[in-house]
Amino acid sequence: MDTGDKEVIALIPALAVPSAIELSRLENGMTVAVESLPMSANVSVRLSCKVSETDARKRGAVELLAFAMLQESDPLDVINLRRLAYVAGGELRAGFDENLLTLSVETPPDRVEAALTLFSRIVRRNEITNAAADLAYQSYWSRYLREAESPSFIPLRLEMDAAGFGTLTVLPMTGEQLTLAKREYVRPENCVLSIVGAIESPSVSRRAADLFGRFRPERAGRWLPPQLAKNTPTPPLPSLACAVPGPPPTHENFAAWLVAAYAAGRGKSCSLYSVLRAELAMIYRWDLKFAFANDRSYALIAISRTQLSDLLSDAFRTALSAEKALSDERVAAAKALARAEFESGWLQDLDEPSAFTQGQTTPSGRAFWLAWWELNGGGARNVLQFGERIANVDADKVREVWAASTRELKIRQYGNETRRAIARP
Amino acid sequence: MVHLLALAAAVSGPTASALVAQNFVEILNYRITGAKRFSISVAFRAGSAFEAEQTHGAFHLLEHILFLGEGDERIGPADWFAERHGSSLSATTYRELMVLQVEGPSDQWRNGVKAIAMLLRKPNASTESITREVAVIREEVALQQADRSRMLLDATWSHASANPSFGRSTAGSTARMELMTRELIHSLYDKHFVGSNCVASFAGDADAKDALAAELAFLPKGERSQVPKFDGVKAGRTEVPSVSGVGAGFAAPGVDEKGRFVAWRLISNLLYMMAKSERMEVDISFGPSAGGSVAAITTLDGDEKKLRALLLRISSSSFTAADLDLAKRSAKSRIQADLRNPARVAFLSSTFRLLGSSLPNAEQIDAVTLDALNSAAAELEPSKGAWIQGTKR
Repeated sequence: MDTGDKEVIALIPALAVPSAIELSRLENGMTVAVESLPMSANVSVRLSCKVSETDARKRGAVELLAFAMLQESDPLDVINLRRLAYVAGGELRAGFDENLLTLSVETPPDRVEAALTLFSRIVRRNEITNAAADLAYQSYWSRYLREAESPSFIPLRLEMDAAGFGTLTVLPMTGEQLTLAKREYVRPENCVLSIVGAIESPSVSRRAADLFGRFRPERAGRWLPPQLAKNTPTPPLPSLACAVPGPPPTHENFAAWLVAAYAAGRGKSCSLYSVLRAELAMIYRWDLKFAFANDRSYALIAISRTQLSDLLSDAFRTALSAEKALSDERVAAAKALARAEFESGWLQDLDEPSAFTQGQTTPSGRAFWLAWWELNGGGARNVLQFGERIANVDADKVREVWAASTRELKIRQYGNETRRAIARP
Repeated sequence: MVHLLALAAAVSGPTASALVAQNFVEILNYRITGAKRFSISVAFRAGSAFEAEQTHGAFHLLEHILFLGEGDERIGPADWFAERHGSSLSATTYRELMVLQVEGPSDQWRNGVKAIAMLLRKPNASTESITREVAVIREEVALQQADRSRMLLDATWSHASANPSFGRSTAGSTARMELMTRELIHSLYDKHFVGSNCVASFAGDADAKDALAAELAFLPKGERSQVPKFDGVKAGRTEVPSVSGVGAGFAAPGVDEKGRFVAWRLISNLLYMMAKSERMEVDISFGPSAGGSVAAITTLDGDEKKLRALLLRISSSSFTAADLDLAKRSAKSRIQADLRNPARVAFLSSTFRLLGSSLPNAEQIDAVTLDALNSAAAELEPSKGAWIQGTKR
């Protein structure tokens, strides 16, 4: 295809995918997934980049990098950059969640061009300045402190670290180091650009190819992981937390494991609610979050209470046991809820998405899942097929998989220290 | 049963229709063709503003008690019933509203109607149930108090109105929970859970009006509860030991389409942009409340000088047509997204209807003139605000 500057970009048709989803691969290795949803008012544009890094300090650097990608650069300074997104009708977001570094915006259809231009300029930017790095750190630290207001945030973060897939909180990095980190992780072969909403697929695919086909970053070279922040906040309430391992999304037992996690910890028919709230009245809420490494998945579960006790700890373990959590009735409710939430979304569709708290009702939810399945294995076709996999799960298999996952369950205690205010490093 | 005229003029997204059931429940139906989800929101005039001082928190307790599974025993508690059909129930108590909501996949909307009706049945409220839920609410309040930004925003919002009944936390005071009795819970239920206090709103790809009217027919007509009077803004400065940070709350009369909060919605977009450019992290909340419009702007870093400077900048700004266009584009984009989301449509339409306004729509935004924008901005002049200085460490 002639893009006007003599560069040739090929759109390689992908293998069998649902006809409504147009999937193509650019010559630089980047995947573009486009889906037309004519009933939508807006269009979601999402650039997702898989980060397979397991070094927790480097993962901390990637979290900071997400903020740096939205900071000033030549020729886009930060104000113009945000204003461009704002005029595009949505909030420009960047983040690192689970194993995906993402840039996203939801825009009216007539602003898709502006959003694509913006994203392509961000990924092709050659240098992150020291000033931009400093501003990024300011936003990163502010967001970190805000999230730490949630009692489960610090415990779940530390649980991930104990599981060997953590994201540690880091000290500031120089622009040069962030630039090298960007070159290492933000590479076309790791990226999926998903565009979903009220658009015409072929023309948008071509425009995306024009803009992103020229994205050919240099190799990173050596860079040093950042130092760790020493003063981290304590959780506002004492908590118990654990990480229940499971198979990766491509594994045949993944759906059974996911259903088990729902039966243990999602909704008001789950066993955590039944045991810890309805029977013992010991907690108000609990948190269940999923995370995905290269070869494993995790269900991260935390409960917080004004005072911890052995009774609470024992009840927590009991509630997560296969015997208690996975009655036929509870598994049936978990299957129905998991399938419905996956296929048609739920209330948190408007929030910052993460896997399995994200529905497919809105363009942003759909754009999230297209990229997620493509990058985590199984391909975009799973957007349509995974609900059926959940429906076909057998209750005995659910119990078997969960029993294996919880056999050596470690429950840790967090946050009995006095809460303290933390200043920026 | 009286069918009202379609409300099409008020809505630019879904097609709206309404009826008033024989027991005076007002039922709104927003048909969103092709929606994969449905949502039902049932809102009552109830909440902390209607509580006596000594029974502060009683409505929140009633909300908890409703979930204890005293629905139809043949099919189990309402939330189990909902989840077996892929749906979820939730409820929230506000200052002048209690909202109960169910949402799920489109083909389950009839079971959603059943689930919400099960949830609304008069609870037994045994002493044992009350004792258990009081313990749970203590944990809930502790969690809320751990969230500094939420506490600050809540305190600022509630201080904006001069009416003291609006200054109460919606969750209640844990110190008063011992005063809760079965008789109290039943009296609140009997008085407020009546057709005259209720708006039920359905959003999704169906017409659920008749089904909702039939399932909610058990509610008596009752008498409409009187919303506490709007008493204007409580300008000044208060030190609040239970929060950290600093906030400014503003209130203005009017909750209808001419109410301040529509223009404040636009201003909040501009304010947010200004704060970002000043490297300030602010939380902004605005909307109808207390028979008026309320705006609350807070920052957790506690720098009152910076927040005053930001508000002075916005209130003395002479916005241009380009600023107005920018703010309108962003606001309309968000509204359009809301109007495609059944959960948002059902929630906003039922609550705004009870508060005397209507579902936010693009026409409201378009109607804001440059003069209206600038005069609404002038209302945010720092000396007009109710300032909260948190002193908690």
